[in-house]
Amino acid sequence: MKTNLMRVVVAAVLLSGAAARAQWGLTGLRQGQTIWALNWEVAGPIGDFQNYIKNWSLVGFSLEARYLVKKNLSVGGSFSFNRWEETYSQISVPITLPGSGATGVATGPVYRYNDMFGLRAVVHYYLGEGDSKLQPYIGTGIGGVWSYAYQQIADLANTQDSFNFIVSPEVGVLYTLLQGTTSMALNLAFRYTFTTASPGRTSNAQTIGPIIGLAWYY
Amino acid sequence: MIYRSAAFLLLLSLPAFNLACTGYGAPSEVVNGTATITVESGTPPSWASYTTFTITPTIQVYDNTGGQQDAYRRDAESIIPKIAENMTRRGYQYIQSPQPPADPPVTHLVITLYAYLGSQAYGGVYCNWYYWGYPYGCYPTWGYYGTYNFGTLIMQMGDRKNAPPPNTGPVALIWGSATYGVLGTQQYNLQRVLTSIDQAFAQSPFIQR
Repeated sequence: MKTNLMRVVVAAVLLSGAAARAQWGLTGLRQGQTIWALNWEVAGPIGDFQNYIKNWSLVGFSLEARYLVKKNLSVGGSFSFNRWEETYSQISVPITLPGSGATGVATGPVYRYNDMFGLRAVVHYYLGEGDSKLQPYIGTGIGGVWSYAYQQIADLANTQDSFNFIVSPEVGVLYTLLQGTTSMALNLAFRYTFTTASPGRTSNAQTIGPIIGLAWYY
Repeated sequence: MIYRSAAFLLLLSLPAFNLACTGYGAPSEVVNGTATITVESGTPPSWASYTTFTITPTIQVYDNTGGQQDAYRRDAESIIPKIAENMTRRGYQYIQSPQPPADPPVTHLVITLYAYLGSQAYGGVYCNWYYWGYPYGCYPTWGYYGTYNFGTLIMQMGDRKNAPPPNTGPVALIWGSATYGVLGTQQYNLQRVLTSIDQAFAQSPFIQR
């Protein structure tokens, strides 16, 4: 009796699995698929950028689409936004008065932020066979980034905006949560970003940081 | 399928766009903080060539606290010693100015004092989309309005040594200092004023005989 019951349970489990496979299908990545991803981006200034703002940005996101031209190679585009913000209680900053050539120093509490809107072409290479739930990849993005830097001391404000070059290599992994005709995955990555943006008197703003997002592909 | 995915992504993106559209604003410690700005002439003079200086005995005040601009003078005796101390420490000789209408002494350098008092309201829709030419692209709730109380002390240093004859008119300004937020009615504190004078000279090490 107990044996028969066990057989029924095993059969039920297998049947439910078969049903699930029939419903979702086990597809994995394949040529011709499109991957969409919406990511939350954390980015910390490194290098000279730290002389403008040291705080990490927790307010960042990216939206990307990747088309698999081969089973393990995708090309696509990405739009991203990041904001860095910091208030210094007391610092001195060099100033130049426009027109007069006069130079000077401003000392006091300073508020700064820097926004960057990036538009990049992206290419990714997927490692392994792509049949497991874990799909590691390496990739890079290249394009343009609009940077807006603002700093204020008392009621004096200084702004800079410019359009700059951006390149951003990354390593990551897609962890499949649901598989089927349309599959959903967790996107985890770590990205280094180099730009030619020069907020304040710094040059070539660079950042590093993790990315967490949701991706789905079909 | 592609349109549905794009639409779904955009829907998911709304909170992110919301974040990107939130207003910016410097904290009050910045807006109402004390800041000292010093500026040197674009063609720096030879500071070692000057020997004497004087300070105007009064502060020319431009007062907007009553809603209209009033101009009057206030005695500067509480701050003159601090300015004179900084200059003499740099090697210059102080010659005191008599109260008007007596003529000021003839010195190489003359320091004049001004104060701006009052407040101004500012505000509007602070939104990053504004910079792309859509001032109302974000919901107006994110607008930021406030009042900035300015109480600014200004020191200006003029070069009378090299002024063209007959040396009775305006002289070339070779250095200026503006300290924001020290003379407002809510914030006036003599010690902060004196500290800001020290700060103005500290960030101008080139003033040296």
